[in-house]
Amino acid sequence: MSDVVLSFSGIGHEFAARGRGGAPLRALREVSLSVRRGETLSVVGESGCGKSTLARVAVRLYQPTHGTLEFQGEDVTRARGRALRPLRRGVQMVFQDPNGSLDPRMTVRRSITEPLQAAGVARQDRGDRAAEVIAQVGLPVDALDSYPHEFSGGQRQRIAIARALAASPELLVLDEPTSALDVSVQAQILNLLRETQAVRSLAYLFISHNLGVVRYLSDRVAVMYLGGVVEVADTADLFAGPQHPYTVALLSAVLEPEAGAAAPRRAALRGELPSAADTPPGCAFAARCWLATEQCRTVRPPLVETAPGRQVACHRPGEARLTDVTRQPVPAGPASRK
Amino acid sequence: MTVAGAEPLVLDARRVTIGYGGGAPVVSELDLTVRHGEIVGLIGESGCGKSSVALATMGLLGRPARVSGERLRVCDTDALAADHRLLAALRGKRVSMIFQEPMTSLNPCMRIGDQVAEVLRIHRLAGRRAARERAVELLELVEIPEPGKRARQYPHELSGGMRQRVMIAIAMAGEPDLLLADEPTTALDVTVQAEILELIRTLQRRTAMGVLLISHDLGVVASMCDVVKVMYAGQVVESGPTAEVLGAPRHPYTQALLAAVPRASGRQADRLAAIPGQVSPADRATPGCRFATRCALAGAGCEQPQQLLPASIDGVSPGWQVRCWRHSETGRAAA
Repeated sequence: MSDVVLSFSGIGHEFAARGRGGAPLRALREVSLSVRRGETLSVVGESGCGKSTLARVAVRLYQPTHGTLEFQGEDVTRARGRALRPLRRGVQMVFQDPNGSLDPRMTVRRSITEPLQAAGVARQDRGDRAAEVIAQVGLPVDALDSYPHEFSGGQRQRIAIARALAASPELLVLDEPTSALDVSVQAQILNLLRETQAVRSLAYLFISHNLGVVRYLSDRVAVMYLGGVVEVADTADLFAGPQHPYTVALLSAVLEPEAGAAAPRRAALRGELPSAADTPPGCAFAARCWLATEQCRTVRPPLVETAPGRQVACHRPGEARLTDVTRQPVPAGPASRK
Repeated sequence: MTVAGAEPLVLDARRVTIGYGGGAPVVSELDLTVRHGEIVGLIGESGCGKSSVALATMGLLGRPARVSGERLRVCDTDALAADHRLLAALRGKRVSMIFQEPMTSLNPCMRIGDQVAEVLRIHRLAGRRAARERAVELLELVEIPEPGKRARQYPHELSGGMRQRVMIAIAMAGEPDLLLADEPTTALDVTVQAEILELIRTLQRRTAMGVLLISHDLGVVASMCDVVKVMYAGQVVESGPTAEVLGAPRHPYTQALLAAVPRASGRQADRLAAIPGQVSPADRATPGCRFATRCALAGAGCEQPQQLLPASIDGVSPGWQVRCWRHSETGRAAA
């Protein structure tokens, strides 16, 4: 496909174990995903599932230990120096905490023009570009001469987005960009991201644990668990009929602000995520899954296409239902004491 | 003070004002009651004053803070007049608190079991050995697997959800009448959040303690609380039974807050209704409506001081109150 901006094929990433000869931590295993021009692909999952590692691989902050990363058809997995320049300009990142990602001693203008300098834009054009992007994110032009501390959290995130837009990227990698913000401000930023995308046909790789936000912003969603992708689907399909039990569990745990939802829905999952350094041989989710069979515990299910545009890594795809979650038998174990 | 037929109050705040140093108070004339066996929710965004309420209740605000008001009674103790010794005797025994970040509230150099036992020792509820045994029981109460083994571990050996369970075990050690939970699940993943909330609910039902749940998450409050208070810039703007307040909100701020939440299920808005602007320090000092600068309905009349008025037109929900003089219109618009 020619409209693919960024593709991951069989990406794996390991972190060396700290201390005495432990097993390496496999943060990513065989992740294959692609982001197309103008679309939002969201990656959801809980802490430690590898979603932020994937974001860092996408901008080549990490060089993946396995697999291939392609940017606009070029293999950039091990690219260095000049060969990495197109990716450095074309893929920009927005981090969760704008307090940490903006230099407190730089004016907003310097923060925004720095990536332009790196991209080789002439000095006189950089100023014009900075004024253009700051207006695009809804801030006055005189904001350029202020420092980050003069702004609220929401405004700082606008500045971080302006900086990411400055070099006219093809793809923005957004790692939990609204989770440090209040809901009323989050809504402002989400609307801004939508408008910006529509104007520039930008692609987004959107990392989040908030399913409401993901549903609002995405065209497609990939669900990750313990370093691997367990389900990929169009947003509407995923929310209407999740096929992987983990997706079902995740959706059932969301608390909507509805009156009358007074009784908490029963948690589908018991127990904790196994360690990424010591994963079981079969399905990574088997230990917490209520549908798990002997096969699940011994044979790792591959990610297979179950319908056009829809992939699931499960031996029993589509068997878990949102409606059964409340009636889930609790897997046996010491934690199941009532 | 007890109304006939009603459960006794474990927290009774009337016109409580909290301020730090100079400037406008962070909480203005707050009325708040929590009864035995009741879960009351306090919702609001950063800086609305909700955490200061919990800290004042615990007597944990230091010297620069000024807490004043008509009354602040915590489990029959006058917290405005009590000296630090009286408050210390209350804390951990009759009133307990759990915080957002369990890692920073646990001592990293002390075994889990000893931290739970410490509460029992301080309040002279058990001898050394009995406290140690009771600590293991408490860890079992909060559904920690292998409590005997876990009691000998340090906080860093536990996951976030497990650490929050330990915090709850410490809070439950003194069998409190009032539990203050300040964003207890904000740092946790959704599946773990569901488990922790269920645990708090179970313990609350079993002991019939009163719970003040502070959160910015409307979903958490909707699923847990009997009564909810919405705070904005240091004031309660809407208060009442959760079903009414979140089902048919009357205050423009409550309405805007609900409209700003992206939903994971059900009907979804084409465009999220963001609340324009942000809270400014000047909003806190204005005698009129503090939300007026961001409110779509603001107009002449909003600069007048706003009172909490009964919101229920037919008198069905007597406890429902709104701080907006146009609430009869907003109610009709929402209906």
